[in-house]
Amino acid sequence: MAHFAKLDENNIVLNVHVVADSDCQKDGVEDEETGRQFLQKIHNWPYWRQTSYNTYNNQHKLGGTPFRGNYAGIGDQWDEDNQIFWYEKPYASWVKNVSTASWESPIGSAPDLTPEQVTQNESTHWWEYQWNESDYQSDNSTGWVLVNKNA
Amino acid sequence: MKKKVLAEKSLYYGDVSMPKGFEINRKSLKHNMFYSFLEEMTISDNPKDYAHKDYKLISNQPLIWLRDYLRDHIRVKYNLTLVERSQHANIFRPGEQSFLRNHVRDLDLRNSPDYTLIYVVDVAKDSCDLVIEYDNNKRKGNTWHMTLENNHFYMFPSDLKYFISENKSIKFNTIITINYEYI
Repeated sequence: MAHFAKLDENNIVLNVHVVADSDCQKDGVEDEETGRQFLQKIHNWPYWRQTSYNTYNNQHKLGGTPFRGNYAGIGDQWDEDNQIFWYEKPYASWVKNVSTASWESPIGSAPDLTPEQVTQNESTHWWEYQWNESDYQSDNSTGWVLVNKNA
Repeated sequence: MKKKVLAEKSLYYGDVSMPKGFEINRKSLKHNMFYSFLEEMTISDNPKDYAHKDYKLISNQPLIWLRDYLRDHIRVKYNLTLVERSQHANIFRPGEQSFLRNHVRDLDLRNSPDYTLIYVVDVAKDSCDLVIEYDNNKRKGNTWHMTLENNHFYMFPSDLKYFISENKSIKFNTIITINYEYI
């Protein structure tokens, strides 16, 4: 079976539909346009893009070839230029990383936990870096804040 | 100083903007509505019941596509996942108006809808309004009026009382009502 995202006129994902292999094959080979035409006929809606159930952050969970960045979800944005389904931007300042099909902070990844913090996480604490957009907006060299979620 | 909204009464409305070439076939909807009207396929046989003037909606492809459009777009735009509980058709003769009503049954809240949506299939221009009653804290009994337009929808909480004003035209006006529960 194949999965197709239903898009609105602004390329927002409205829904995701499953199509049987037999309805999206041409001469025995999977064909997106055949699937799109099948869905158009049934749903009276022209905007469809195939999406891969096993692709996330431009990696295929089963070791296959990733397809279009991420599996489409309702509310995601289809990026025609980069051929990627983008999930919702988590923070205003975050930027697209096209190669990983994910959003990244403008100052890079969160720092690693120290060995001591890692040890504490196994017993008494739950240390984790969280993004604080307000901190970043007031000082664009900061943003990651260490918090103890067990506190 | 902070503010917390504890409850809200919102009205959602707009046109059903299908892509060009894929418009809802309102003539087909209207055809089925008139069939139901002429065959007197009322929701209730009890003449004292408001639903006695509600007519069964015969399902067809344009109706399914309309419901798909409303469900998908309202979910994405307003984060409301709606499940249909009931639907019916209304046809208003010249000079006729609807009852003042809502769709919540006080003795059966579990099975009452959360939202009521009115879709305008075909009404004469400027011939009738949707009038919704609402309370604004101690200021009770306010009304909000909207002139019904073809191919537009109007959705509001099902506990609000509303009516469709007198049909001022010389043609029959047709509207569809869909009641939803949200999950």
